Amino acid sequence: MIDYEDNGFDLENQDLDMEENQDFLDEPFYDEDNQEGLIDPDEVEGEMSFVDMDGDGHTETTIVDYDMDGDGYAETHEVHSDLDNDGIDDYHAIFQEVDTNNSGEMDTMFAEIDSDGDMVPDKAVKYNDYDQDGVYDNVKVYSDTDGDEQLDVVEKHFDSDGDGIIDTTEVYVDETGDGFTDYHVMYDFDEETNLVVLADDYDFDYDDVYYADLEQYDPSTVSDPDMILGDPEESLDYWEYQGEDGPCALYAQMFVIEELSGVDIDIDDFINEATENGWYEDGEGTPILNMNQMLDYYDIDNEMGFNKSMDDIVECLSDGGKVIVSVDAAQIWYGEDTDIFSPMSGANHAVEVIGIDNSDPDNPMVILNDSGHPNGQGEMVPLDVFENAWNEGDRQMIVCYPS
Amino acid sequence: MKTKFSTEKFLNEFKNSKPVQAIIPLGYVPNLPIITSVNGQLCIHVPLMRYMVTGVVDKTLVFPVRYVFTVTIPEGAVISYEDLAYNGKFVNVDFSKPVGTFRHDAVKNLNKDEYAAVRSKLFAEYDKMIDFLANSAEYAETDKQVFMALLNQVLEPSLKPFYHAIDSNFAKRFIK
Repeated sequence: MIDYEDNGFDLENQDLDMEENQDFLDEPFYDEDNQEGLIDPDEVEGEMSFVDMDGDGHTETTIVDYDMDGDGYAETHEVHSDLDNDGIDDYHAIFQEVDTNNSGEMDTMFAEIDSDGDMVPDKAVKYNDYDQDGVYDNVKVYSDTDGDEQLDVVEKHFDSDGDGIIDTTEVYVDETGDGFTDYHVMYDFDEETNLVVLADDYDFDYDDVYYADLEQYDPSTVSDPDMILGDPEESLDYWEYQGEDGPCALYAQMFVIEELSGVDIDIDDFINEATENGWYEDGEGTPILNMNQMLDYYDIDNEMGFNKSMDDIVECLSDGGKVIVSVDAAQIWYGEDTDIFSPMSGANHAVEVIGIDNSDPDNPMVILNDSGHPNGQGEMVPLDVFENAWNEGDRQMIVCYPS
Repeated sequence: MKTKFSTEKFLNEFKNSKPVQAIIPLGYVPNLPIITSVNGQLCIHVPLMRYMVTGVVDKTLVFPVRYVFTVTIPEGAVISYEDLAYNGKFVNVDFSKPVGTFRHDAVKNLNKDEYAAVRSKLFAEYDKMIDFLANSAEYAETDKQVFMALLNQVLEPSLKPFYHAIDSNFAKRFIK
């Protein structure tokens, strides 16, 4: 897992440091009128060398090393390349080594690059060798991708596991020009190959999933058992937590099968059976119309329907049956928070309805065995919240009875 | 007078339609449709993908577009369905991993109701364009500009590459 803090990233509000690096770009080493650059050859003498970088037999690259501060070490390097051998330079760059902590060793290098030969810099690059072992630990590339002379993309290449090797790249995009990340790029569309390609191996941090505190049904606090519909006390024993992205529809069916048939089910075997039969896809889930396939497989008498009402749930529970429904989990778990939502709501979770608590007639509560919430054992949900969440799943309901 | 097609109503009904319930795993929802033409018939591609609400503000996880239905407009008849996991264009995509977070910057200042209102406005612009394409209703350059502005505000940036891959004509014309 990437440690964002160690890498100095604030995922939520990434300051791209555009201003500082825009300044760097706005003060070029060379300009349009002076193709030799702002390094004045009359004031400082450089040592020139010619290199065939691409190995085609032509020395297309000129490198001039300058000792700008006169300390005897050439810390500045000017590079010109005529990549297509047409006599006109089409790549220009200035590299400058810096000893930022005055240790006597160069630890950082800045580069300003005109990668398309138009004499306007379009990239600023910062290389850091934090441990001064001669190997760069962190490289940041600031690019002007649309030619408007404003930096809009930052690539960060860094060593995520501390083994001294750069292994991770993250890409941040600032389209609005406010200096803050608009989005992270995980994939790009390559028009030449017509492929969606991985832009980086950025991974998301799942550790900060937050579960709201939900009231749980506690049989010991019930003052009038007649006000409780169903047998939630017994059903509580069959609850298990699925984890953050487990197969909720399979867990809900397992709860019911174990309770109605007395069979003790191993969830791994249960998932394998569903997968082998094509009723569940690992990591993806279960189509709604397959939500009773395992019930059938275990010979549980069941019937799936849609556009059902609370009266239907009440009737089933009163008859000793069990009820599985599909709901929008976000509404169950996070209720009416107006800042936590998804763009398009829909049924995304299956739960077992194990009872209804009418102890407070003005505030009836639906009792769920919800495998998706760590405290989902006997989860108490206000009736109106439950109904809203149930509406998203077209009021789907599977009624189950012993065979 | 022809009945005007409602994109928003269609998508709300489509997410609970039998083809979706039979094939698509629980949790997938339609995202913004892509207006297209198949053999001269006006159609929309309906991309389906997942969101995972993490309970943290602005960190609802956005997953890749996984399935695409193509339906005729205004009839809503499904003429094709594709699982992008089996399309070569998406061979590099890990569909189990999120590609971005919601709310993105362009909608970060909108609460749930305000966001829904902006999305409804966008769907009204879809309706206007569909009415133009289906019934030759009036459509001005300013309508196109409004459509583009809303589309690019609402569409999660992390999904743009998927829209380009699904229908480059639509994406090149309308997605910035």
